[in-house]
Amino acid sequence: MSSPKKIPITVDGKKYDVPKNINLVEALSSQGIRVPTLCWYKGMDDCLGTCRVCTVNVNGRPSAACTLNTTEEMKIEFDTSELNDLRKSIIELLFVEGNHYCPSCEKSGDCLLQAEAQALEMTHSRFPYEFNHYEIDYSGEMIILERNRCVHCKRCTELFTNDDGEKVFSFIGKGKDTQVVINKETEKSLSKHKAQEAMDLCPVGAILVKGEGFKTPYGERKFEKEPLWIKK
Amino acid sequence: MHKLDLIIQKEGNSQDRLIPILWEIQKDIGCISLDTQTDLSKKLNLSPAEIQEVVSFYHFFSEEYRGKHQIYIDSSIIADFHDRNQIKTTFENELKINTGSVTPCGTFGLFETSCIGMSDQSPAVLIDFIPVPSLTVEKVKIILNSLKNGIKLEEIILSLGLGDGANSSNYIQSNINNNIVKKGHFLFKKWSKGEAISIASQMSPENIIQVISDSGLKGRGGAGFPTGLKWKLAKEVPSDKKYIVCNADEGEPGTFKDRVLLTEFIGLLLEGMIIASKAVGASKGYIYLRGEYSYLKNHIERQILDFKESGFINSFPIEVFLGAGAYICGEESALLESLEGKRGEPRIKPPFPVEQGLFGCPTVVNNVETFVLAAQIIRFGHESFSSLGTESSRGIRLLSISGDVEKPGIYEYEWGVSISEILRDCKAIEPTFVQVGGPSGTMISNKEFDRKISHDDLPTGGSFMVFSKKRSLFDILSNFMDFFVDESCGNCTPCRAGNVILRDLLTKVKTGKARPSDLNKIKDWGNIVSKTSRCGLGMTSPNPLLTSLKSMPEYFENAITNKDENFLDFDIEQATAEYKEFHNE
Ligand SMILES: Cc1cc2nc3c(=O)[nH]c(=O)nc-3n(C[C@H](O)[C@H](O)[C@H](O)COP(=O)(O)O)c2cc1C
Ligand code: SF4
Ligand code: SF4
Ligand code: FES
Repeated sequence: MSSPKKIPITVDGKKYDVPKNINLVEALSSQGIRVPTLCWYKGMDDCLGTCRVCTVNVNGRPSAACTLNTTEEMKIEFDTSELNDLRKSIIELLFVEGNHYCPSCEKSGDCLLQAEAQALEMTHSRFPYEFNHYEIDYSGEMIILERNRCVHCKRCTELFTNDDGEKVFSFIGKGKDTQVVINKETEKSLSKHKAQEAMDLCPVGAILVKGEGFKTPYGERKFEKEPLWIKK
Repeated sequence: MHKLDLIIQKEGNSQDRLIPILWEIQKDIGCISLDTQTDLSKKLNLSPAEIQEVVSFYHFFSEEYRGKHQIYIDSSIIADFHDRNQIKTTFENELKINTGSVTPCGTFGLFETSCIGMSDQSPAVLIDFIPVPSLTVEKVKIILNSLKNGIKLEEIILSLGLGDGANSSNYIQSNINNNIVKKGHFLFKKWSKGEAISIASQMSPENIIQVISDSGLKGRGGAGFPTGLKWKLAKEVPSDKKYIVCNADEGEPGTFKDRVLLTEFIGLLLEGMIIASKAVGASKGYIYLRGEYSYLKNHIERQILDFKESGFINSFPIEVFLGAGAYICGEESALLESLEGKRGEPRIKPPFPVEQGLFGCPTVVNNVETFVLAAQIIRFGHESFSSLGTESSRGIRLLSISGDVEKPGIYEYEWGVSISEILRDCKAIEPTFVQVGGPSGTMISNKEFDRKISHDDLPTGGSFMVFSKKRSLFDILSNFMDFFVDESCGNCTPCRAGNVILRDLLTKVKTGKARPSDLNKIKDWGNIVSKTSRCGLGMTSPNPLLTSLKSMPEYFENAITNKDENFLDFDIEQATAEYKEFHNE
């Protein structure tokens, strides 16, 4: 295979050559520019475009970087005070919409929301806390759904299926009342391994495998060992 | 045979039939219970969860029983200002229930819903999906008593003389006024059936597209995308299947012009769609009709049949598809999701519908008015249109005028008309604010009435709401923010969570609890929502707040009673009462 065609793009006034028609977040990352993401992760086929944490300016218009592929002469603004603040504000919005008590959370240290908040130097939320009420669903065989922490990224509803290819999680309701539900029938048949996959897929501590939450001790967790804010 | 089987036999069992199937169940049984969903899921080869995802998204579908007679009260701001509360209280008192519930005997269910497209004859309600306009307390009582006595709704409406019913079709089960007030010289040129199609049949697809492009026609659904270019893009994508979709979702509060076009100009609409199909090479058409207009479905289908019998649509079947109560389904990609039988969550763009639309095929989505105008342009030539209007905004624009005016209704104007001229024509009553383009548009004050309706000054999808000096700006804004909070699809963070926060902030201002810094927060936080949202809903939902703050900051400043930034507006005794009681202090 021939290597993909390289095209010029501009990021904050600097020119870069990147492969054509690849995901913009990956393209920027290959140039050492880390775009914050929450619903997107490296290697996913289709983006979800739900969280908007990856907002950058493309040709003068704000867009979610993870939803775009590189095109010739793309003009990107990334590291401006306004854009940095926009991205941070979305993380802050998620903190006030949900109820995130990191010190008691099974996912603390493995949580992408927490890691991005730290990387974006969020010290508090500018928005008033909503103190919304969410039901925790303990009724699964393997899985606990801790809705207080759900960021509605849709990873679980769009990307996760059981071994038979059936959906286990879905979105019900609309707007601020949208919530994830577990499909009891398909959840029953999950192996422990599959359930763990769901927990790992969820960027926050909303999907938990019963009895596994604190298996890795604090201090040895993913973002504790490799924090996002340390520039490589 | 079991009812469900009958419905599925009629509709087919593929996922894109899900919404029509759910409609039949909802209308037949009054709800779509979890048990029914499970039964249905087996028959459609979907999981129960996939059905629940859809049922729970749409306002008119419900897991709980909604009553034999389902009453939906219009919650638009125009209805609010036309004694909606009095009407609502009368319904509640007469039925002895609260809004949002069903009478114990199950006969009546009383609910609220966003604007039902009747702002010119407000207050209105939908009863069993038939609009009942121009209500008074007396009339509500008569209607309920008659319904209790088993009299048919159509007869009741007729006997009350609620509207003249003078529309072009006997198939519309309702008596409402068309309220066409100002006829201009383009749209209202006399229609002669089949003329536009016959002219187009002599033209090549390229030719049709050229004429539409030369006319300068821009989409009338709000975004103002050039129609000729849209058709050209769809034409250029190679595909066996292409679709033409008419967006008749008309969800922007305050608009009702598509309602009138669908009854009085249905022939031109069909001709416009047929011409578009020829231009892009499409094999099927859909009219996505908002659920609130389901009473027009028979009439539209009758006209389609008539066209078929006349031999106009041999190879281009057109289907009427009923939405189920979701403003977001007016957004074209959400509309396509809905047509595919899914939740109406907007897609990521690109790809745009002209590249990958319905079922992945190139699709043209146009507003009702766009198709109607396109047909007229083909009849009278591009210059008949491009010679009207302004440089940036060619041709004419229908406005739906409502609110504090003596003559609400439909007005045809050339683009470029000034607000003050419109206000004169509709006999506005002490106009103080005008909301141009609905809640997602621009709020202007009486200092700006020399501004003009055009794409480069005040663009609009047709809604034009006039508010007199006795109206409170903050009542209006609160109604709009409630609307956006209710109608956000919930897919993306800024719109789902941000609109709630903007609404709370507005409530603070409205109740006199805001501090000076809160006005900057409106600006900053509104900016966050509009810049980062995924689709047009969130991109525009802060507009009423941002534009009114910009054009009339004095209203906001006056609403801040305490300028001391650090003043804490709460009662310490009350706040600590529970604690004290607990500790017996
Ligand atoms: C939240 C939202 C609601 C919309 N509602 C409608 C609608 O009810 N009718 C409509 O024609 N366009 C509506 N639009 C615009 C459509 O997305 C699309 O631009 C339009 O249907 C294209 O047709 P046009 O080019 O003829 O205007 C809406 C857009 C958004 C973002
Ligand atoms: S449960 Fe987790 S994966 Fe699913 S939507 Fe919520 S945050 Fe995303
Ligand atoms: S902006 Fe609002 S309506 Fe549009 S995708 Fe986001 S949540 Fe849904
Ligand atoms: S990471 Fe791009 S929208 Fe979520």
